[in-house]
Amino acid sequence: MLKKVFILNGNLEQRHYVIQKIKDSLDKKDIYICDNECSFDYVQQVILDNPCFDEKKIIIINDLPFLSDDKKSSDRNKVLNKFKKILKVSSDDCIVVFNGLAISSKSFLDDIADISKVFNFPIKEEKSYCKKYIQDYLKENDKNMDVSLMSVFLDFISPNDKYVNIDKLNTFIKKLNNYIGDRKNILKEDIDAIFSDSNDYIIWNLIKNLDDHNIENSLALVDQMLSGVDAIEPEIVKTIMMLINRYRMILFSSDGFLKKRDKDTIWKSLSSLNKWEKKGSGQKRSVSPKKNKNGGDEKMYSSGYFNGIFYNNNQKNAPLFSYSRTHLCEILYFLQNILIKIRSGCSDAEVRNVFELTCLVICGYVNIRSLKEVQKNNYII
Amino acid sequence: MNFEVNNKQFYDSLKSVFDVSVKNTTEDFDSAEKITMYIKDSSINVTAHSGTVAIIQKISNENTDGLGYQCIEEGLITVQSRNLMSTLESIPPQEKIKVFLNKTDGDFGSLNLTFGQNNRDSQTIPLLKSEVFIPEISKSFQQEIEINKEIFHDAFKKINFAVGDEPTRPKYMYAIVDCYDDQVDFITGSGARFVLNTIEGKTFLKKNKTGKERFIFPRNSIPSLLSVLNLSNDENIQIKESIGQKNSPDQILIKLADTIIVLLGIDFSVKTQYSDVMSIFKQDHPYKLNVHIDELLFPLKGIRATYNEDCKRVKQIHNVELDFDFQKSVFYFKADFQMKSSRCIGFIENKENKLKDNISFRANSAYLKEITQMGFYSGDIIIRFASSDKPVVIDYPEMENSQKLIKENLSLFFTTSKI
Repeated sequence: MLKKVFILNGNLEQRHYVIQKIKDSLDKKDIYICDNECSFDYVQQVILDNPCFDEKKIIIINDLPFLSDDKKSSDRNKVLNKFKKILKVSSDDCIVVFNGLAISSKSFLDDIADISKVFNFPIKEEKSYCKKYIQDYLKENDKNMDVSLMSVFLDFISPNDKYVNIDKLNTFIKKLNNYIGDRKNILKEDIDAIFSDSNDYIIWNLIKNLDDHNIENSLALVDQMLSGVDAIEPEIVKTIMMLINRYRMILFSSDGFLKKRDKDTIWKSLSSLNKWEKKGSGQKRSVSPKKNKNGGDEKMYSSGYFNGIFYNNNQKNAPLFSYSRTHLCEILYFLQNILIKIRSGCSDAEVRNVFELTCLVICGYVNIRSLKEVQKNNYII
Repeated sequence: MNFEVNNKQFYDSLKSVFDVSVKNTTEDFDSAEKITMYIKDSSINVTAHSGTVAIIQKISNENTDGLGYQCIEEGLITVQSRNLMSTLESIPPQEKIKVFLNKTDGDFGSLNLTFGQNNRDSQTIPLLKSEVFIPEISKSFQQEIEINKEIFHDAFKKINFAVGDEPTRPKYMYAIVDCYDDQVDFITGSGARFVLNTIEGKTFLKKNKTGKERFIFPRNSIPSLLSVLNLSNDENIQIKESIGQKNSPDQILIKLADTIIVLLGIDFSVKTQYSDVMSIFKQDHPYKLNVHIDELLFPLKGIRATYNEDCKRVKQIHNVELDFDFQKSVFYFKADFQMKSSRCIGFIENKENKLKDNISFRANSAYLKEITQMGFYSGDIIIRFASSDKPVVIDYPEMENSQKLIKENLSLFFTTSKI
């Protein structure tokens, strides 16, 4: 006998598998999908309406509904408490699936324990496990990939991290499988091709090449990044902001290590930094910590991002150890200055030149002396 | 391109095409909100395409009284439909207008309209580069019927309000038209409430095949379709369905004398997926009672009055209680919110009633409200149901139209709720 409530957390593939199993197990069914546009009253009505055609109802809740009197800031616990009450009186013909809502409220889970089943699927897995996962998938699809290529593939999906997001992995492995069509063997060119149009891939690949001080690849990636964009300046400014954040974190960590602090202590300090956002306009304008979906403060750095700078990618130096402290200061100084310069008004060609110069600075091809020379000639900064 | 035409008749002829071009258009669809006119020697062929509905209409002196069309030079032009209609609206209806091209004005030239004494007044409309794209019209059809236009339009209009609007439940975003030999069932519903309008008659429908043929009409095409049918003077329309043709997309074709409407983007799997609503409508319910519709009018207004603005702020769904007392032959509508209502209605037991146990259930007041909004203001309605957790069916009195030789039976059913 099926439970009345399913709580599915974790990766998409396994959640979909369970939902499909539920659907397959029922002959006559009517499926409702609720998202954040649905009010709680609507969802409640759907759950408590008697079915018209003796069918079973599957109600898939992809986002918690809002409360009618409190649309903008419906409290998650308040909504779950309301759910608790109606789930207890709903009929056995109605199956409610909380899909990917990361529900961990103990009181909610305890109260509906006898009518519910909880599935907690992993969100990320270690790369070593993922290799086995890829192998199984490819075997099932009669495809073949060299183990060394798998490492490259996984590094593209999750650079500078020993974990890989399962959803991302599934997306890309399916994309790769579709891309090669009937061909059996997967080549490095295939991997390059499926990632090449992804902006994330280009940016992360650029970062990897900057960390490896590979100026040739870096400039090629800048070229790739800017080809086909509507406007160069916003793209470059976004990348510079991201680089500033990254090098600030590396400098902060590097400084911590010089002061003999351990990794956990450094992370403790870094993890307290919030993202900020502007609100209002004119005199009412203010700056405050940016809020995430759950109402908490959005953090500047994630633990995965932080751990990535310690990760020894492709047997070369980890990003943290690829730069001297002086070099990091130079990079940050340069990035801050060109950001001001670009924002004060530059042509597209100037913006592009300046960013390529940035790559030269990061890769160590231009040092402080050259920078001063550039400054003396009033070229850009 | 150069022609002359009487403004009022030209404007009226373009209304159907205009409606198609602007109603429920597909976002970013290039042909939407445009009208292309093929100016020919004896007629103007006008086309528009909203993304899911395309229309091809022939306007000529033969099919439009007083059009006064005179082609001086043939040609093809495309304009924004709103620009064209607002321009024609700005010209006195009785005026004869001269329409010609000015190739040097704007990016792609402009359409000049001159009128008034010695043509001294003028309006221009910029021309568009790309014309309205009309998909390939299918030449072979799996299903085909011919039906009286007015009957089809009126019957469809009565059930249109109930068509579903939830994209997550796409099968209910269609209206179903089931054609039998002497009967057509028009069905719409949202999943929790369904309406059926059955038209019976010997002469209003012509079919090539015997037995049931199901046509489906997507929600977003219905306003344009009804609007075109409403404006047409034709007696009959042909409805044809074409699925899986090589060179043309899946489509439903509605053919009038000088107009073709093409419905596109239809998920034909809905034909088989749609719920078996007839199993409810045809069910022999144990509870069956007759109520005069006038008796419901004010009590239902009283119930809806309790759904005031304060109530709406905290409740999106307004469920009320229905208590049936078979000993006293009355039932109550009860609403208990900030405002309360308790209204008693007398009923007469139907001679086919089998159960006399008192029963109560809850139902959405929005569905109850619709009972008195179906256009019937006289006669007894039959309320029937099986139990408190099964749908409640309402049958309206049969209407006979002796002029058109048809009988019309309207019914609806809605679900009940646990709270």
